[in-house]
Amino acid sequence: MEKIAKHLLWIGILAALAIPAFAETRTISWSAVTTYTDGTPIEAGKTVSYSVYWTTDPGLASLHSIGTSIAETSTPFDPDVLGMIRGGTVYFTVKTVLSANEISALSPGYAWVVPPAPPTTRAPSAPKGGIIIRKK
Amino acid sequence: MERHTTMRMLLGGLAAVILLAGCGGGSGDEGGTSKVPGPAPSGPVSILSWSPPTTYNDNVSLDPERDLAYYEIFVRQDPNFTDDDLPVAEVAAVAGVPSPDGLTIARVLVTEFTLELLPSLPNGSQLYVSMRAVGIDKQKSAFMDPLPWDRS
Repeated sequence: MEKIAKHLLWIGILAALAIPAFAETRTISWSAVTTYTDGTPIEAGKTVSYSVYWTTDPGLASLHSIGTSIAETSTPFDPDVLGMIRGGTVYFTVKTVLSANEISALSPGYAWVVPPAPPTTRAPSAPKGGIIIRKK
Repeated sequence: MERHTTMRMLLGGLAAVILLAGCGGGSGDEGGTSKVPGPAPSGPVSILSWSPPTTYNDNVSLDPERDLAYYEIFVRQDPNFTDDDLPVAEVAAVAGVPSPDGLTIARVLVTEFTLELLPSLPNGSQLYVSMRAVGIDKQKSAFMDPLPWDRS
C-alpha cells in the first residue's frame, strides 16, 4: 500500500433537489479527490469512487451506508428511508476508493440537523356516493 | 341495523355544524359567526348522504377519522361548482357520540346532513348540492359530483 488517497477536503449538504409526493429527497455532495496524501496526483488511469456513510455518533462509529462505489461527487438520500430522526443531528463521512483498492481514511464528519418533516400538501379525494334522500 | 340508521340520522342533523350563510363565506373562525343549528325541521326533510374519502388525491390511503377535519357544503342553482363558490355550511368530519351508558364518547364518522338546516338558500325549487372534504392540514378535495335537489 504505497499511497493512500487523501481524505476529502469538505463535505456539504446541498438544498433539496426534489421533493416528490412520497419522500423528501436531499443530496449530499463533496469535493472530488484528485491527489494522494503526499500531494501527488492520482494517476489518470485509476478510477475514483466514493463510499458515503452517516451516523449519529460524532466519533463516526456505527456507520450506516448511504452508498458505495459512487463515481459522482454527490448522491441523493431520503432521511426517512435511512431512518434519520427528524430534528436530530447526524454526521456524514465519506471515504475514497481507488480502482486499485486503495482506500482513504474517513473524511471528517459533517454535522447536519435533520429538518422537521415538510407539511403534507396532499388533498383528500372528493367524497363519493352522494345521494339526497327525501324523508317525510 | 335500525338503531344504527337512527344514529346516523341523528348525526346528520346534530353533528357539529357551522352555518356560513350571511358571513361572507369565510371560515367559521372569522368574526364569530358560528351558529348552532336550530330545532330539527318539521315536515319532509332532505338528507344528504355521502361516503367519506379513504384516499388522498395521489391514491395514498387516508384515515377519514384521523385525517379529515370537516366538509364544506355548497348549493347552487346549477351544477357548475367552482373554486370561487362559498360554502354554505361546514360539517365536522367526525362527531362524538355518547355511549349507551353515557360514560364515554365514541368518535363516529359523519356521513349525513339534513339540508333543511341550511339557511339562505338560493331561490328555486331545483337546486344542486355538492361538497368538498377538508383535511386536517386544510387541504381541500375536489367537488363531489353535483346532486340535484328537488325542493318542490
